[in-house]
Amino acid sequence: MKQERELVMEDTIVKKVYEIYGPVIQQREPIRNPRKMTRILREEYKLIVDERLVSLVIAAFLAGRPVLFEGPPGTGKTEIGEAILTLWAGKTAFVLPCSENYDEYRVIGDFHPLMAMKYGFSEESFIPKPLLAALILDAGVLVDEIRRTSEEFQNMLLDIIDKRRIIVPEIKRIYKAHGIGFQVILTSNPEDIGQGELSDAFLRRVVKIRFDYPPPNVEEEIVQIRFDAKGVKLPRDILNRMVKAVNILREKAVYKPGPADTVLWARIAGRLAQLRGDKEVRVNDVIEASKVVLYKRVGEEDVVDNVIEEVFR
Amino acid sequence: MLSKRSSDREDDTRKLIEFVMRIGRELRRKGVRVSTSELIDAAIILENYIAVRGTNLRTILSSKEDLFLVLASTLAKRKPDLHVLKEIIDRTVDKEGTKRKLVQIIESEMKKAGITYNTRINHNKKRQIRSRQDALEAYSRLKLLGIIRHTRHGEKVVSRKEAIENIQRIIRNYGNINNALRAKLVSATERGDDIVLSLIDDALQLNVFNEAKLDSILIIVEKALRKGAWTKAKEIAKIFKDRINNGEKFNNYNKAYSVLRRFGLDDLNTITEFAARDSNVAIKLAQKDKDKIINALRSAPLEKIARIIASLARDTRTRQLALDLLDDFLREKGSILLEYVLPHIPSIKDGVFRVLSMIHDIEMNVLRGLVSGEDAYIDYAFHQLHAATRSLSAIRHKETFLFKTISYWLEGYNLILKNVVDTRTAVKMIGFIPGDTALTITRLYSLSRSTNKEIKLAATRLLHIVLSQSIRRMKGSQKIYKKKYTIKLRDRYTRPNPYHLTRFFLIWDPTSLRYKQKTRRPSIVVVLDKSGSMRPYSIVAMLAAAAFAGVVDKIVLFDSNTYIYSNKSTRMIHKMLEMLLSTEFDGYTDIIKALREAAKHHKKTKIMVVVSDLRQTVRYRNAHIELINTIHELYKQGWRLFIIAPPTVDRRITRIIQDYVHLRIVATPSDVEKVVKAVISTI
Repeated sequence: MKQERELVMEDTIVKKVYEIYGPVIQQREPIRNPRKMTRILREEYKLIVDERLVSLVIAAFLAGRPVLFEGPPGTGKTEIGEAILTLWAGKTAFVLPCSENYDEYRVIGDFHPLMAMKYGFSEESFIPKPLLAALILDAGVLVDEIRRTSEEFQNMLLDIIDKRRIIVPEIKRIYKAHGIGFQVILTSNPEDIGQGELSDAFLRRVVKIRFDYPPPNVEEEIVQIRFDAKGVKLPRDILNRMVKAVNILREKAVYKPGPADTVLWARIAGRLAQLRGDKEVRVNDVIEASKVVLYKRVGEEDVVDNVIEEVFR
Repeated sequence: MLSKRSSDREDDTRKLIEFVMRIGRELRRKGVRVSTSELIDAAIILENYIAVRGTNLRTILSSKEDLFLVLASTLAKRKPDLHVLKEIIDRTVDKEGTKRKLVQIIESEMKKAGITYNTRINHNKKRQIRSRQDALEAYSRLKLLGIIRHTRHGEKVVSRKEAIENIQRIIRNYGNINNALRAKLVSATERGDDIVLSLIDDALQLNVFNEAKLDSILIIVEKALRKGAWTKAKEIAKIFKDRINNGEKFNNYNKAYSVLRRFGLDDLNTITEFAARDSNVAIKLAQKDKDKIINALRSAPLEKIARIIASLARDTRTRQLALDLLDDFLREKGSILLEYVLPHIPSIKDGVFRVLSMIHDIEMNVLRGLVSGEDAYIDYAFHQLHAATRSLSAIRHKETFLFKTISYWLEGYNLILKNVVDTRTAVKMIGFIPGDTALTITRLYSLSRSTNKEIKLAATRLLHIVLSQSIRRMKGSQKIYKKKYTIKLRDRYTRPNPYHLTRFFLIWDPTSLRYKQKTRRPSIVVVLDKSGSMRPYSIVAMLAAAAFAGVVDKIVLFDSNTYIYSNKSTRMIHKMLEMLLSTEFDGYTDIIKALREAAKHHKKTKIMVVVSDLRQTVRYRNAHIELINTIHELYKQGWRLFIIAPPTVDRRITRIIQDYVHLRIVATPSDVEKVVKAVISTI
């Protein structure tokens, strides 16, 4: 085993990966028990996740399938995905924030132009990128906003996940995953702008988990858990009304605020109260904070104002 | 021990795969594309999920949430597939649970009845069962569910296997035991089966008597009475009454009357309704509660009064009462009542009723004569007119109101017939129709609904003429047009001909003015309620709607559906009348939908005339609030609403909306003219 490890370490690319990405990766004990994982998510990461969802993600990992989180913005897909991957592998997960022009050169590896001129297209001039690094380091990968990428990229990704190996033809190498820490979570939000469609073939090979806005009591809990203005209290009544306002806006407005917006709103209101030297968040703080957080689309100010007035006055 | 555990695990895996396959098959049957690889994934992930959760297959298979979470992630990845999957999971999980529960229920029932699988029920056993009420009920239920069957050798309880097959059939067909029992009890009630009597409590709880046919319920009530179950029979009779109050139809009015009377449920409204439909009930009622029927008729509609009077006239014992009633109500309601009585008059060979039936014949013959142009009809009508006059003069009590009215009618027909002989055209004849006696609009309208094709055609033609005349008299369309003159410079327009060229070069005066007449025609949307509740006022409603011909832009007819006519021919009086006269007033009312549809895509002057009683009968949550909101919305959109309603209009609504709509009530055709003129003057 040790010999094998040494053999692996002899590989230039692997060495490079450890050199480049090693300092960023923090190690911890891998967690494979859903109950424990849910508890840590709540206590360390301040994320309220259903135990059943965590169990399903673990079941999918065990079956060797990538997981697709789909749902409206601000529901915590990315944060939850990253946290689960980190806990599962026991290493900080890699995040690939995707856009249209993503291809294998940006995720697997590329040749440094100047070095290529000196050494030719060889291992020396090859720069490993996050996906290859994750495979080598046995860490998780979060592919954010998969709908923004091209179909070719999606298919390449699925092939890698399916076979758990990466072929780099330029340097005639095949890298295989050597543990179960290398897992992939994809996120997508079909309601956002500039989103492509996912093909049937793609959907067939992933385990899709839907995210939705949480029920009001859960959302209140989320805000409570993430409210960070020290020395300031957020009264239950005001929190109730904030969640109510956000829920009305989700029905009426074009920009639908997610729980992340509610948290931000509460935090800013808390900071305002702190600056004023109050010990409790007041309605005025909340209304002022709403102008910063909820005015997202031009022309929708009236809608937001009406809702705030309806709920708070 | 170890081998047992591993064989259990294999068994579980087999069950899990079967379950996933079943769901997959159902999904495919419903049109969801599920591939084999997805099914394999689903099975693997479900197995992993069970292991990760640390639970067992049985718990997961009975938890809808867990199943939905796991299977939706693998088998229903497109949004529209989700509800299909949910439905299938709900049904499958419920089915398994229901089957277990049903077997338990049936076995406990068998215990109650003291029977076991695969046994015969002999006389002794039956006697034992009948001696205890709970055993009898259990036995009846088992019999209805097919667990006890009738064979050549008497009754027999089926085997356990057959019982389970039966249960599976019940789940497939009815979903659960209550639905199955309800359906079986309904059919037993409709057969008049005595088994219902031992399960009356069940039947009441399961609303069986709200579903079974009304006539069969009467039979069950009578049987229950015979058995001495008075209170339960009364409960059933109450349900029966509620259902007939909701307008449900049945045939045996005589039996219904005696049942309701026995329980003291015979309120005036119901009883007059029965009497109007069945002459036997009317006669029975007149003999027993004479005062009651007279009181009841005071507030009844004309059609009902006419039917009851005609029914009473059929029997010699009540004929005098019929005459008295007719005289009384003629005085009270006016001669219009006679129009309603005429078609129902039986052929009796003496007295006033004979004259009335002759008048009916005269009317028919006049109409036939006008349509066919045959002299024979007119001659026969003349002959009958003379006979009727002779019969009338032979009647003794000449001071009665009835007598006077009839003689006035006969005079009217005399006048019509003479004119017909002179001119032989319907158009001219109309001018000679006396005010409110013979052949009025309402009468013609009821004749136009006759089953006799000839009469129908003739009456419709006459009605057409009469209505268009009265509409022209209202002059609605002319008044609405507003004339305006604008001044314009003469156009610099020439054609290449000598006259124009000369005009252009020699006498063209750029300062000369041209007056152009502009007319403004407001476009009106007419919304007409053609539902069943408007039937008594159909002629009024039709006339009110047709009065706006010429300015109408869109006519919307509605019952539970909405029909929109917006072609230009709706502006022509005769076309519009043709359409309205062929309209049947029938069906439920969905005014909310109709108003919304009518207001849609209308960009011209926003004036809407609604002819309706505002009684929404198609179910909405809080229908009347919804209607008020709809009307308020239209008002806010800038619509001017004129509501022409019959006296039966929903006052709850009018009280609230009267601030922002113009509301007018019309009851008779003569009211329409006033109302239409008032509406037009405000436009």
